[in-house]
Amino acid sequence: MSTMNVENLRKAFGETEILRGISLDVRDEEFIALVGPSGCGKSTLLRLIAGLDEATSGRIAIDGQDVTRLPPKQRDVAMVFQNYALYPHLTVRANMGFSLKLRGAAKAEIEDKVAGAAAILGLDALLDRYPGQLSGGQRQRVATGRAIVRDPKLFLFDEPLSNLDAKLRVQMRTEIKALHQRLRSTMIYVTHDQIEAMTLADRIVVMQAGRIEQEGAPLDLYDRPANAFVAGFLGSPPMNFIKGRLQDGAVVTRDGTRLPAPGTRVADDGKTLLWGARPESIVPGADGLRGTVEVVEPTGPDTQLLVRLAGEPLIVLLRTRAAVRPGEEISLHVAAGDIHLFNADDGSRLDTGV
Amino acid sequence: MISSRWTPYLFLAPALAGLLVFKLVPIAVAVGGSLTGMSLMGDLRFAGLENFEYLFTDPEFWSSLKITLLFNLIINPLQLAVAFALALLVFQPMPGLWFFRTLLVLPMAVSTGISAVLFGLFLDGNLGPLNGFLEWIGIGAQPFHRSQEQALATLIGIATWKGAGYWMLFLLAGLYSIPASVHEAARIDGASAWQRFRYVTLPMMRKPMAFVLVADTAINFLFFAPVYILTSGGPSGATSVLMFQAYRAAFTFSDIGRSLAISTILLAILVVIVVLEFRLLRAPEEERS
Repeated sequence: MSTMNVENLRKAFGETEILRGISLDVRDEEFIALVGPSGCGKSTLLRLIAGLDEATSGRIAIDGQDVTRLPPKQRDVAMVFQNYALYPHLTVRANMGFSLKLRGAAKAEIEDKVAGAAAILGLDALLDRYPGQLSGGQRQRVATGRAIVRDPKLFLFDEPLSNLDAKLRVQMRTEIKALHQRLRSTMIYVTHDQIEAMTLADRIVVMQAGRIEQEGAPLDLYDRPANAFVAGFLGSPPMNFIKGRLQDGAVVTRDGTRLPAPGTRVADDGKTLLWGARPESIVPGADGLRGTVEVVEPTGPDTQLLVRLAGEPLIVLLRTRAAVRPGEEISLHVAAGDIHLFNADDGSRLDTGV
Repeated sequence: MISSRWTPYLFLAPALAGLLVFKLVPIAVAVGGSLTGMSLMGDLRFAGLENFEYLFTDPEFWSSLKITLLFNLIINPLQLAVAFALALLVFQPMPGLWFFRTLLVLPMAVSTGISAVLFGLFLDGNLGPLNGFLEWIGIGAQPFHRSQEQALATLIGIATWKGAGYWMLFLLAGLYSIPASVHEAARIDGASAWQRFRYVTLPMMRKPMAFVLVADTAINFLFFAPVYILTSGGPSGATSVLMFQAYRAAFTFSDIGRSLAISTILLAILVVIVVLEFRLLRAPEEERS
């Protein structure tokens, strides 16, 4: 049973505010992903939870106990670092057993726990090697193993896969997911990779400029982003946005193109809005929006098109092998439920009621 | 076109030529010269191992060897320890750090000769401010380099004053090269400040420490100027290190062969000690690969 609560947490370095009042409740056994662009404060938040940095104000509790001013040692958390931070002068075995040795555990107990973690991660054959003799993926596994051996209340991951190549990253992502399902521990995972966040997390927390923009289940955030930032951050390729004025149930762009705006009276006529549609929800259809195909990129399973529509570039992801060529005209359709509308000034979502 | 097989050697040639001219040839000349002697007529002649035979039966040589080894046995670990302590001290961020770092490195900029002369004045029995101070606090004046008991220790003190800041720089660079995340991982693993020093900092400083110890040893085996300026090997031979013996053999007794024999013995001792030091500080992760 391990929960983690953060209340109105702030962190400033001199005049620079990194975290501007973060509140977050993590439930037992939950896998939380903190995502956001570089400098959004996600890693700082993780470091405060770990106790590596001290909060300027606010409160952190683990299992209900206030740990805000406690050193890392007394928080019973384990952390996997981006560069793994293995002890280069110790073998894999000694790296994994280091925390237990410091705690004064018996030799047999250390051996036992290290062997257990090594078995889970397939490290048995590597126990007597030094970190310098391991590949990137193996080091990552040792770093994870060092955390498992501790059997901590909280697992913290700080971009653990970003130093791996693309193929290995996908493989290790699956391993971490399997690990969570096996251990059922509470995990907090920082990443800038929204695919990692989407695939791994029970709940995603999207951060920007020291604030939480939105939190929720991955698909909820994907389907109903609370603002244009979250809408643009989650999804690859990202959501298309076109600016226009609301007029008679449509968003009218600069060049007079009328983009369908579902729902009734989301705002007063004449208001400037952002019209948004995800690339995969734009499909060819008769009597739709007319655009010109500029680039065709077949990837095998699908085809990505760059279409010029209302003078704006629009990315369209077709799940078929489209027989279109650059320069051709295309008619495109978006279902009413797939259209997102946002306030142009603050980016907040307008509920279309569809 | 030059055959590609020889291209690497072509690039290495300037460095190899320098190594040959400035290192290997002088060593060969010294070793060769140690096997020569001067006849009464002033002619150079081959003397075989005569110079070594002479030295090995000369009590002055044995006493000098003992002093050289004692001097190095104390000064090298001492300078390493002091330099490490200073590096740790100025590694922690604090206001005005640049001032203290500069202060510690400053002795490096004073020439060895000048620093010896200055210490001569500083430690002087009549005019020296240090003895004035010692008398004032009730300890009483000390003879320092003018006494048989304190002379070697005084020279060690002077050399450490001058050397510690220099060696500190290398160790400071070593401390900076330890990734912060490794220390953080240790903190999360539950290590106290002492445990982090003992189990993380110290083992990860092996390479810079090995470099400092070896380079410092090489320099201290050739320690000469302060001996020449302050004590002339005295009082009663208490500071007569082998380098000073070699100097005297060459320039007081004009026995170049004996001087080169002493230098050759110094070189041999140095090689053995440096190999031992490298072994002592070799990291376990390097032993296997």
